[in-house]
Amino acid sequence: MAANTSFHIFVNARPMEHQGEDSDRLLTVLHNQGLCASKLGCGTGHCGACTVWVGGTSARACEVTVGTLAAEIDSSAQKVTTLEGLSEAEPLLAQCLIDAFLLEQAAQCGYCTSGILMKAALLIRNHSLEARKDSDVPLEESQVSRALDEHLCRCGSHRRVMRAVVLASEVYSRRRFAETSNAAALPPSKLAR
Amino acid sequence: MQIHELPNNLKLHPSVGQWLRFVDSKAEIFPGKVEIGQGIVTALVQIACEELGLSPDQIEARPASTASSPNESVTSGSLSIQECGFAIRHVCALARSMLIGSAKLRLPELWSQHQGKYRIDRGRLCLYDGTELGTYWDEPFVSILGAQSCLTFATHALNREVELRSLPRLDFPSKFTGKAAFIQDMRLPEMRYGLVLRGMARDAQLASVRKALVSWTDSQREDHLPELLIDGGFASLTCTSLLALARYQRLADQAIARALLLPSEPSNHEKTSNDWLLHAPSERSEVFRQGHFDAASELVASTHLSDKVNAVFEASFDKPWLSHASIGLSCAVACYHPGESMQVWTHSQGIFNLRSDLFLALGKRCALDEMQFVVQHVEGAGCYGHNGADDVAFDAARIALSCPDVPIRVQWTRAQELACAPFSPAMRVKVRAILSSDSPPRVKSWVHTVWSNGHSLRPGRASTPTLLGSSELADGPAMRVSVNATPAMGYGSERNAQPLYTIDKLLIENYRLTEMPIRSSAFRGLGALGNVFAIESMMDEMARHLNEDPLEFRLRHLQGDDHDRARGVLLRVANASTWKDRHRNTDAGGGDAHSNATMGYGLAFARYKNTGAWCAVVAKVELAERVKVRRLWIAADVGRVVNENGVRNQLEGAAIQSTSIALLENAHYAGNSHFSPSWEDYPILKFSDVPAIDILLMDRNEQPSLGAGEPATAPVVAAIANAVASVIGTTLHSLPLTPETIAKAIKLS
Repeated sequence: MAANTSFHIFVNARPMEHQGEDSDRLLTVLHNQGLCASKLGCGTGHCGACTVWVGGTSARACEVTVGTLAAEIDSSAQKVTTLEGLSEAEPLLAQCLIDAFLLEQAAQCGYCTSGILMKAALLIRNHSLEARKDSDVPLEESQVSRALDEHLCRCGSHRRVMRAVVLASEVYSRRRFAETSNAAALPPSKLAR
Repeated sequence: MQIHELPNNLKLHPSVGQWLRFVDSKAEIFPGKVEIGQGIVTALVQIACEELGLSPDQIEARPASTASSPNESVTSGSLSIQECGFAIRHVCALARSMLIGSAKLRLPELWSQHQGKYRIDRGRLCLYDGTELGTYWDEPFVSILGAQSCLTFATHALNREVELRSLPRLDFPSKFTGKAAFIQDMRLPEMRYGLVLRGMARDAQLASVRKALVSWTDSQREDHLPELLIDGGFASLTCTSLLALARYQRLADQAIARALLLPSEPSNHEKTSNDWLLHAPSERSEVFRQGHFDAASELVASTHLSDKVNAVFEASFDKPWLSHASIGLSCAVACYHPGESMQVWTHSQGIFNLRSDLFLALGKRCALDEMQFVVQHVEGAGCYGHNGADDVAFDAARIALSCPDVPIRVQWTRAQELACAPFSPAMRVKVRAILSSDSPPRVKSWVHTVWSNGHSLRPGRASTPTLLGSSELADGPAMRVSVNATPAMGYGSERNAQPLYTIDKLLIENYRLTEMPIRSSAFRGLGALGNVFAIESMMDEMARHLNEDPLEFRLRHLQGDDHDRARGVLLRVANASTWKDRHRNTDAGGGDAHSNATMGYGLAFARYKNTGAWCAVVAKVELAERVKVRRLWIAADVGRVVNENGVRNQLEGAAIQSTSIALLENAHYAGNSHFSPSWEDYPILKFSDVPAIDILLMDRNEQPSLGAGEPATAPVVAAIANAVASVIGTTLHSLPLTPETIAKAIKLS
């Protein structure tokens, strides 16, 4: 095996040093550092259980190599966010999603959930960014199902997951719209507890 | 609810202290059943809350361990609520009545002054004026309770102070925020990481792989070389870090792929039907016989075709091999302390059974007795039957034996998960049914014959171990051939082979294969998948022949008080799906408008194991280039519902998994190999193909609880098949319902 090299990457807004080979997979590096939220399901990018954010897009951590990430250390496009760091990176979005998943009880075993949450978070954020400023139109279920088609769930929690993502999108749009328009009073949230 | 008979798990573990303890302001419950993604721990905590009058934060469910838990055998068969739920409810009810009883004895005057009016507030027994009479944590109550026999009758409270119709899952907050929750997340100090070298098939020749690995390890210049262990056919590498493991895994995968030289096309041995089952060596058993079969023609087909003129219907139905296909990979941790213990952490469904087999396989080698093998449950990914959990626990223990005092973690690869774990076996079911000449005609005779490998190869039930790796060892025993569960456990391949319908003459026979080309064992529903598909398809075929509504045809065979609950679910599902108007509905409930020409509705019914929950399903499908299931209505009677959201979740999950089975799943079999080692080879249902689902729960609060995990599995498959049959006008004879299968059915008709 090749001699170990030192790699510098950014995970959840913190620098992380990795001693290894450039072909080491991001997922193994995360697990090696004790970040276990992203799950190994196949190692070939088919199931989505290890989905994380790399910059502004979602990626399969089992396929991303540490060499590729470290090569562009100065680029924000290469910064990694995992479920452990989602609440820090996107507090409102994370809260809306987690609350909606709890409200809908949107899992069975929960092994695939981490990857689904990361994908759903990106979907909602991008949808919100693309929407007109005065719009709070939430995602439709068909948009959610298309986006999650590359995520496998064997227990059959799909319908709950789709409901939860639509609900999270609805609440996120409303709260974000309320924040940006400095609305004095928020409409009562479905998720108010 | 007054109890008349106590279940066996209580009889085997008769002290309250084996199930319930009051420690440090909490009640600890000790279930022998385990969390496999179904939410059982939450339901058990809810039961304890209801009986004790405590809040969920005051209950702690201890992880099942052979060192401290009652032996409740295997978490399977939709029995956890029935058995473990009952036990927890019973001991908690007993504790509550003892707390009240002791207050009455100690303070008789105070008690009678207040006319016995009390409440329990967070474990404090109080009179309505607020006077505290005692708590669950008082001595000597705690000591007396621990030694108390639970073999006395107690009235179960059922929601006295605590109304918890659907306690939310206790494990979800951690899982939704990325905290360590699974065995795959488990890390111990000094842990090492093992990988086991196995091919796609049980007996794949791995000699060249081993040779390559020996040469690699010899040529390495690293400080921490992986340790190569070869013990007969068992071969593993152990690395000091996950990173090293991942690198060697990639090398091993490449070498295995080269060594196996997988054919790019299915070989000549590829099985295109299950005919081979009829010719394999087998043993016959008569499962059930009723009535006198007076003519040979009732039993044996003169031809292989139905003779509808004489109202004789004969058909064969095939169910393919199925994979468990959990998203998580089987994983275990083991640590061997010479002369002391073998500690094993596992997501097995049966920790005591696993302990038995680990002892059988490794006891002599490590000079430990069985009690020194300590097996503890740690949650894994979703489990739908006997998967690789037990096998990987053996792998970890075998490696640990060669690395004393070091925790060894082994996690299988996706290819191993799909190719080395036991499979749900292929089935052939032949039905020969004869209609009477009455008006309207009834089914007067039914001969149901099953050919299949056994549906159980679980550990802990035989004189030699059934763990995959144990048969690979130099001195290992031969792999046993799978068997079937006993009638009391609801059978295996014969499960649900006996139709619940009232039929005068019944013969149910089973041919269990006595050789096992591929390791087979229990998967959700066991033989019910093949048998209910066959029974319900045949019921529809006869109804179609009589030009009778499939619902009415079934109801005619479910008359009498015994069938109240069967009729109940059928009528409920028919009502909710507007079954009678289905031919007029182009968008019945689905919210979509499609031509009736390609839309079909199908009905199916079963009572799981003929002793469990009742379930009726209506499926709405659209047939175009492939089948799309648009909507499923599922009516279930599971008796008293403990956790409604949990029951709905289980039924929904079974519905989606069964839609996947009905449309897509087939572990391709060829010779001694399976060629479905990746998600590309073994696709499962995707989000965009998931149907709308309506769950309809019968209100049976007065009836004992029945498990909800499996009752929908088989009827959903059968209802989808009948819906497709309603479009093409002919019965489907094999699963999955691919365009090829459907084209074949049309051609045969």
